[in-house]
Amino acid sequence: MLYRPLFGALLGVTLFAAPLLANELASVPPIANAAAKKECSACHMAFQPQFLSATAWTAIFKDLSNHFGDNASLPDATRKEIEDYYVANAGRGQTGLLRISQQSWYLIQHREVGQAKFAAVKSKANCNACHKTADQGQYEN
Amino acid sequence: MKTTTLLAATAALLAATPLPAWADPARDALLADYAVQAKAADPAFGGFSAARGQSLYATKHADAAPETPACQACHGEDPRQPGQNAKTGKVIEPMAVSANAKRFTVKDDVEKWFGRNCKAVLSRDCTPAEKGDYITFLSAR
Repeated sequence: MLYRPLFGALLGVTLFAAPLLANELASVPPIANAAAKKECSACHMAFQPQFLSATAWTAIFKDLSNHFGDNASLPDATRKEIEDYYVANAGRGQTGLLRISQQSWYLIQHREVGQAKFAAVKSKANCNACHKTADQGQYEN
Repeated sequence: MKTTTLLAATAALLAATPLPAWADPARDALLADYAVQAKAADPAFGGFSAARGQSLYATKHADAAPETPACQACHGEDPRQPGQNAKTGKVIEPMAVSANAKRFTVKDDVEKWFGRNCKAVLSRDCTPAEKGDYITFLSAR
């Protein structure tokens, strides 16, 4: 929808030492782990593991009882299964940023989306409000 | 022997209530389990109350997070309608058993959500009596 391959690629190359090109993430595999699919979609869309680095996912799963201010705790065995899946399939975003919506590629891709549009869909966690096939890993439109 | 008496008392309590078409053995077993726990916590426990459950569902708590002052903040004033996560906007399937027959049929899920949401809304765990009241209310809606 907002995708401009050349501009995005150039900006990526210019800004980052190890550029994460946004087009790597326009299409990612759908979540293949049943527990992850169920538990991570309970309060928001289940985000695919490729959107954050392994370091970031590890930090997120370390404190599910305070998950961006909410209690998302899980039984230990379930948490471990899901964490292992996310870490094994992680991408290579900025390790210090735990919010997908603060990653550079995200900001670049959404630079033309105004606050009003984000407000209308309530939260940036609602990828599928605009990307109708987000839960299948398809973000191209 | 004591457990047997309690179970018999619970069975009598449950039998006194006419079973609607969407009764479910797993939900009945869960309620029976909460009844045993409630009786153990308070010997004066005399059965669950849909009215108390309704009050629990609707009561607003000033010390809760601003987005989630009450159960109905996310689950909606009418539990037969879908709700919406107050932070992410994700649609939540109806809580009322008449509209969603799967409600309260998987013990681990029920305990997971009471564990998370009672802390968020009431700033404490719910008692077994409160859990039973809540399910009784929503089973009657």
